[in-house]
Amino acid sequence: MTTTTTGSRALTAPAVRAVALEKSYGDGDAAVRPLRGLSIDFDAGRFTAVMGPSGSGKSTLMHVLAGLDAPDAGQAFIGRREITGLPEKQLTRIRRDHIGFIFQAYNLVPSMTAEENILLPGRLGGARADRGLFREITGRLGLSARLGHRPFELSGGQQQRVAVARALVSRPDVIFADEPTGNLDQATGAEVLGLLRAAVDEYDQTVIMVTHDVQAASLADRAVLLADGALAGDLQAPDAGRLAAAMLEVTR
Amino acid sequence: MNPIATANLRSGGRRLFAAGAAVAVAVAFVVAALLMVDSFSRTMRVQAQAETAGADLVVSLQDGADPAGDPVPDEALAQRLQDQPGVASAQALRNAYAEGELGGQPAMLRLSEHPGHSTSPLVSGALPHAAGEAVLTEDTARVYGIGPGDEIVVEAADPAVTGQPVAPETQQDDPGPARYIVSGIVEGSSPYARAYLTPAGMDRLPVEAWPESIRIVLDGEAHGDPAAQTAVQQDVAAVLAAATGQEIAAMGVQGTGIGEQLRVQTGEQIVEARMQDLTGQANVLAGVLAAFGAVALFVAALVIANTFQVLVASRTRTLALLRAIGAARRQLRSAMLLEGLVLGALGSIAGALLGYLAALGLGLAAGRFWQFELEPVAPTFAAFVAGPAVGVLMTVAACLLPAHRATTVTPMAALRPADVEPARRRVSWLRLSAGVLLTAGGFAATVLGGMRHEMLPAAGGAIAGFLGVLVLGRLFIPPMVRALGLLLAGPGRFSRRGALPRLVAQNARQVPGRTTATTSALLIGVTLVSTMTIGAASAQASLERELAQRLPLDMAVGFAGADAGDVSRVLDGSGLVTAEVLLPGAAEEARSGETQVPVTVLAPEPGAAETAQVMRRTTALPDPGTALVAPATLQEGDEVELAGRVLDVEPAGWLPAGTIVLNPADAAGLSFSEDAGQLWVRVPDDAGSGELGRLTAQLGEHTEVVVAEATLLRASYAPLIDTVLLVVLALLGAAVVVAVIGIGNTLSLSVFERRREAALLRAVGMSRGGVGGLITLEAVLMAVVALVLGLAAGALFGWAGISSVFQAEAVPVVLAVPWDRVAMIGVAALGAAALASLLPARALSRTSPAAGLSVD
Repeated sequence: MTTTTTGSRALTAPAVRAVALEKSYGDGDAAVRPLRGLSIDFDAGRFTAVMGPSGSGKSTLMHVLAGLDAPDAGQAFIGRREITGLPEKQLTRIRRDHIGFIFQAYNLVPSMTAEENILLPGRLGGARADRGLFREITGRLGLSARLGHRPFELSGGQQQRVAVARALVSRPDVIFADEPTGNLDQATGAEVLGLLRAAVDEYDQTVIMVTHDVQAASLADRAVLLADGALAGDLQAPDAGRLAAAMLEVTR
Repeated sequence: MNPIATANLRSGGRRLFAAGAAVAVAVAFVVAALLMVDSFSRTMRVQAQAETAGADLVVSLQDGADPAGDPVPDEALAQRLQDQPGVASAQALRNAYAEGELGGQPAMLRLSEHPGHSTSPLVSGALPHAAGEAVLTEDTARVYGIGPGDEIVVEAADPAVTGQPVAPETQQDDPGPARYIVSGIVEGSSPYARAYLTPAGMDRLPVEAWPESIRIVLDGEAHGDPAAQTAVQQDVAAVLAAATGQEIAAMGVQGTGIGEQLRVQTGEQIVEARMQDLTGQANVLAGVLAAFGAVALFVAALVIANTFQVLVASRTRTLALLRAIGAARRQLRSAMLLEGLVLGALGSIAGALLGYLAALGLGLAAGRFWQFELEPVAPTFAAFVAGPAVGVLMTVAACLLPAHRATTVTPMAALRPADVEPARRRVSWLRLSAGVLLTAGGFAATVLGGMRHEMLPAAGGAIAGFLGVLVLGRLFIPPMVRALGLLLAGPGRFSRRGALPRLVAQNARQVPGRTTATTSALLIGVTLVSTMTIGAASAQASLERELAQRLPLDMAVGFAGADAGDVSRVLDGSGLVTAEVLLPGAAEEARSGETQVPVTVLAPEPGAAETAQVMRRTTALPDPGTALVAPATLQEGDEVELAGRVLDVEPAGWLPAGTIVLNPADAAGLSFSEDAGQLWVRVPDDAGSGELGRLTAQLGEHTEVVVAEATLLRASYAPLIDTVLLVVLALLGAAVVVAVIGIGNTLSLSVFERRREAALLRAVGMSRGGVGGLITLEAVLMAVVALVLGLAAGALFGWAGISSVFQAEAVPVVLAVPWDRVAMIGVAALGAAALASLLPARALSRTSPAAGLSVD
């Protein structure tokens, strides 16, 4: 176990907060309890990795924090707003206006061009995308020449870059990334992680990434470890060695 | 525009094309039907207008008046009207029926006086000027293949043949046939061979011509002016009333009546009166077409709903992604409905054009093949607005349920590739109760409607019941497919032969939704076609049976005095004889009450083979002690005395006048000879009325007695039944298309769903052919289930449909299943299933064993 710093929390409210989250599925022998009274804060403007072995509850945590799934008990906040207990319509609006998503695969609507995919949240009724920002981000991500292409005409790395651009252009409060490198080769995966890092450093975004890849997590500002639905570790500026050791400890 | 809808339309591609085709076909049907009904009723109006032939007023006999009574619209009355103020001319027209020859072929002719002011345009030649000239209607000229310069011969009246009274003076003079030369052809159609003559030509006729009407044309400006027509109508009525001493009565569109005999109508009133008669017919036609249109729309709606379900299923991942990044449910739903709207609009526009072309083609075909000249098809507001509007509404309505389903996709589904198929939802209580209610209520209404001969409950019940079957399909279709698969697999779990059917059976249990959707698509087609086929066959069988009941004999030819050889030659030459038997006859005197009449007595053997061949029902022959007597032979009475025996009388409308039929047991002692006998003839079921008319006319030259009522009746039904069969064929084609679209849709969904399954099967060692065979076998087994269910439903609906149309008293309905056509349906359904499975089977069999095992 390692120490926790609380320095920045005094200055600004956390971007995302979980308070005593409980969640279970099924009953009897098949019962699973992915969240057991989990409480955790995620600071704004930082890159946080959520790690843990399979079944540790890291995916369920992300679903609940992103308003995709409802907990049995406890609270989840995006900024100061509690999202637990909100009706589906408002949750949808919060996802659209305040949350960006990058998934492992199948990130893009296949029948839309890269540009349409990037601008989709805005066209669904969110804030109108800033033209200048759009041009800057797509330029920075090297997508300018690929904007008219459809997803199947793009490589896996390019597709993930489009997903990153979509998340950045709508300037959300938080970007959730779910195993964003899981489907990519080493080099492309590193490139996508670099982009997430840049999102935090250059665009002052908050990124929460769920992963089980120690290399990926070592690029984050902070790594939280989950085991059996509870917090099992919290590392600031983690390096791969410490992370691997911590992971070994929780899986033991 | 909704960005999701745009993207959806882009990705729908081929599947949307199929649904659009279904919309187009249905809308085309509706539009074509509306255009044809419009063209039909305009044709009727034009024909009615031609009937008045440019006259302002027409004096004619009232409906039900006696043509031999008094007064009649004759020359004397016309003279009186001629001098009325405002009247330019009053022409009395005569009309006659006679036998004769057209270009050497025997014909029944209707001869009318040519009105000087006729508006019927000449097609060729010139109007008649001399007494020896005549014009023919276009139809007549075409049917008999004659034209200007050819000869018309009109025979003197023969009372035995025409049944018309003959004026005494013509009979005494026996003027012989009159001859006319065709001077021209005018437009027009009629069920008779029809010719127009000059007044002098009418005078030359060897038969009596009857006053038919007085046609009045008004002076100058007043000609064609409705106000003037009405004013003069009253004057004319007053003159006629004064001349005949009878009362004037207003009779609506029937004009102004004078007593019980005459009436005066304006041209407009004649047209309206005709239209009122015909509206009934046009309404029936419109009703039938509307029913077919509704069926077409219903089928299209099912195809569209099915297509959109497939689309929703194949888009699950995208829908979930959209929900995750913030698309509201409402946005997904409206995107789907918008997609339906665009599809419906495009399909409807295509359908309207297609329908217009079809109507144009039908109009031309009607003129060319059925000698039925229709007014040109013209675009109407109703057809081009209502038809497409119905198509769009139907499409959007069919999208409602799939659109709702699209909104139930959870955003979670986007996050991870779905692993094992989740357990399928059970059939919900709502669905179950709605299905049971629809099925039970619908079928009960169908059976009741059929039994009580009421059309609305029968048709409504059939639609409701069938919907119920589709709703409940999930409950019994997969078990049926499964049972069939297991049956085919046979016993022995480890046998190689049974591996494929066993897999099919297991799939039916694993994916009941897909199995049901695919089978339903075929079920719709099979039910539709078998309903029509079995319905048509039952109608035909019922009519045939009824006809045989009433008229057990097709034709009886008596040749007292005629040469039997001549008669045989005519019969043999006609090619219309399937069986004939010469029955010897005895010339006897029959006594009934005070009267004694000469009769021909026949005594056919009921059990004889040739009797059975020639008659449609030998039970019509009398038992010992009973005599069948032709109508109008004896005075009313229950008994007849014949050669010393007293027999019970049983009237038989199917015998020639003066004929009595006995049981052979009662005929002992009578002297029979072939000369006094009759030839009984059976003709083919499909003999046309034209051929039969010609045959009877030819026989009439040699013999006196011909009865062919049954055959003529049957011939008059034949076109109806042919039309129904044509519709059946068209529906068969359409249904096969619909079925292929439907199965193709669901099977291509299965490709999407089953890539991993196919890869796994390949990985564990199934051959490519095996995977492809699995898909095809699955489709074929589902087709068999659809056939069984569809034929059962079709038999019920067909019977109920025909039974509800027929009145019980008139024709008792029998259920007839035409096995040859049912076999055709079976081949078509299995073929369609196999065909539709080809592409998916090929696609899946090419799956590489490794490809499907990795995610995505």
